[in-house]
Amino acid sequence: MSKLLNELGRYCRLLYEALRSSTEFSKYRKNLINEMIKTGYDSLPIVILAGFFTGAVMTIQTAYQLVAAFIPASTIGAIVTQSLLIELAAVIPALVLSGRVGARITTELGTMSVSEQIDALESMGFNSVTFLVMPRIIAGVLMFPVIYIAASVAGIGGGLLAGWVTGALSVSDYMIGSRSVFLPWDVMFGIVKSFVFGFIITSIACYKGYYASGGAEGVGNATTQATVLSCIYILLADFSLAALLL
Amino acid sequence: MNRYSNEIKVGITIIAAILVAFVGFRILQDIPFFGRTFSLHTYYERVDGISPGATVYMSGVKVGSVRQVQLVGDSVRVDMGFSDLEGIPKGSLAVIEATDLLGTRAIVIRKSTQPEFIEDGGYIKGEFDEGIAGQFRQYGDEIVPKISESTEHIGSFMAELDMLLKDGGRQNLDGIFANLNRTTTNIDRLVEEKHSELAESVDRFNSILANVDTLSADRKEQVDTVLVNLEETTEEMKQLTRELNQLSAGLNETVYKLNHGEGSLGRMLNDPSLYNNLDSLAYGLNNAVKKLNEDPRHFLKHMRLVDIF
Amino acid sequence: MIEIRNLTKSFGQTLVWSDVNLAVEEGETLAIIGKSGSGKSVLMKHMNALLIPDSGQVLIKGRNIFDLAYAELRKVRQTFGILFQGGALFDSITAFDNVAFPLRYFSNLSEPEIRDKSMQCLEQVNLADIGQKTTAELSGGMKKRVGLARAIVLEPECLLYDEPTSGLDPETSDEINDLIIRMADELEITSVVITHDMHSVLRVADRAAFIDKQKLSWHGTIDEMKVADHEDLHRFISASEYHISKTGVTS
Repeated sequence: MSKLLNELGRYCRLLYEALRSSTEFSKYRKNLINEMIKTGYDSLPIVILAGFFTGAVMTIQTAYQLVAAFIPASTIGAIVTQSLLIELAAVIPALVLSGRVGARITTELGTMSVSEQIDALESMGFNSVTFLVMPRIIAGVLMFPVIYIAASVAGIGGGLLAGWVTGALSVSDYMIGSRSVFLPWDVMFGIVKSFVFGFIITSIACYKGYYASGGAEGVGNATTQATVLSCIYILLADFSLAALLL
Repeated sequence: MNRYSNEIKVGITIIAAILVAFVGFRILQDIPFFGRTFSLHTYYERVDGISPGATVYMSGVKVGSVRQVQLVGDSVRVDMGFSDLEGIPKGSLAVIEATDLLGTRAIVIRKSTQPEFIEDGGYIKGEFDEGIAGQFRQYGDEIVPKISESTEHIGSFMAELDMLLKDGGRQNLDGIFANLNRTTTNIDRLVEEKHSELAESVDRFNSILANVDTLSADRKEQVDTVLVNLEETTEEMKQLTRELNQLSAGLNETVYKLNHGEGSLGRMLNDPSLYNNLDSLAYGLNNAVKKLNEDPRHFLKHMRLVDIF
Repeated sequence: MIEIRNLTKSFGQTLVWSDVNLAVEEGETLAIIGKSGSGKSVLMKHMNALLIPDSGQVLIKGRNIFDLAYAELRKVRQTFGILFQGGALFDSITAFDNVAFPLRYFSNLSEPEIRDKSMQCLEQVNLADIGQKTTAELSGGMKKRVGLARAIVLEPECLLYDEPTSGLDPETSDEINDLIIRMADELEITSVVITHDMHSVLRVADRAAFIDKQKLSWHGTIDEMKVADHEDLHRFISASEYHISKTGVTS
């Protein structure tokens, strides 16, 4: 228990350090851009792929499950679109990227930590938290909504295409269904979620990486922990946000 | 990919995301990008399932969608957006109708023939169509008086029939049948009685004629008396014929009366509308049962099962 | 220049050393010696407030660095250059950029000036031809020299060397030792060398401090060290000398 509190304390301290020195952050703009490229731009292909297949699979499976004749085909479009916007387009990329982005961040920072690169930064007069942690968290928070948008559009498009190709429902049925349930609030909810997920993934990964110790094995352990913790906290946050905002 | 700096890549990514989100938003909200658009609003007592994004049809063609639904006091204000349309004629109606069995509702514009259009943001009169559930209710409303009417008919018919059988009617009938019987026996007996007489007469006539032939010359007086007798006989026959005529006229009258529906029995036999009523009632009931068997959802709908969805 | 007072440090339940008192004079080269795991590097990191002690002070030019606000501490840190054990080069950028790195963030120099200055530092460590090699392409000795070039690029007043010769062959070790001497002479820099390599100590150091058994067990000049009446110290030195004579290198 005290270990848990200690961890939480160190985590909060890291975040506090990151926030406290945010004024000098402008100096490290280049880092932010790099991180945005790595977190957002480079993640887009896998996110679009994941989103596309999520939508496609959902359409086919919903069509398979909705066999009752008196339910119109457009219901499939409605179910797929709303599920994507509220839940899947935010959560699935988050889970995928907790591996891709989170693991990368932990490994990077962990390696820097065990090879004394963080000490080297500090000794040169850098605030290593500002220099390393801040850009990564900000990039996560800024780029995850972009990822959410990409996944949503890819997912809805994937569903549309899958419905059309398999003949489960026509394009116009799909659009009618999608439109019938579309609420701007759902998108807002999804974007809020993606903000939170972005923060969770990057901050946990930074925390685990920044305090990694014990050589290559230590970095490996930190990476595993960061990925697992990210997934757990994503699901917890997903639940909390749903309970809180819906 | 070194042609572009990282800054440009990030910028493009974010701007592209915002653009895609915007476009997607507009598509899902069904707001077109180009073309003339205008909006109208209306008020309903209730909207039952009309929500933003619901489709607006005119002459079966999709012309717009619902933008906003909000409660204003006791009524519901519905804002609709239209596109690619010159305008909605003044005096048109915006009717909420069910488009499918699930109760998905849309607004259908019933065009008026007036030449001027309602101005942008203007008011269009709204009406609530009950939809299939409502139609069923209406159907029920229509059929109930019919059924009660029919049963009334049946009732009165039965009563009449009953009365007919129980009271004077039965005696009348009995009387009629008795009379008929008596008449027939009369005729029978008459024919039987007179048969021998007639045969006798003919025989006698024949012999008389023979006698006349032999005796005419010398027994002229006798012939004269025979002729007188013959005359008497003819008179008798005339009388008989008259009586027979009268009987057949009476019978005719009775049959006519039955044929023309006079009296309850006649009516029962002859009134086509009553028969038709019964027939259509039976048909209607048949149909209803058939429908119920074939398509129970029709009636589930009436039970607002759909609202559970 | 650096004055360590009553410094005590422990990690969790494990005491590293307690009650260390040590002073480093301006311009001298001090060697901190001791066995592996005796906490030499930990002591060095306290001189830069990279680690915080349980108790005690480190005074740099009379000010306790553990009391300084972050902005002040940063200025103090920039008067130090540190050569880390493995070089601690940033592996995401080239060797040259590693040297230019502090300049890009902490100097007002233009890009050509930064290039000139970086090249100059690389020349000082005899690596003028390093070019655009990535850190992965460098040998251990080259990494340390690039690390040294990076440490001196901001013109520090004091250089801290963490195991500068460990893991290097004797010839490269000598090159590094020469570099340490050159830095101290040419740049008039105060140096603290953390090492267990007695050969290196005898070459470069003016004074030595011996950490053993969780305390600063002995300190004095090199000449004093040779004749010191200290059993543990002598065992440590003679083990090194035996090692040196076995490999055929004389001091």
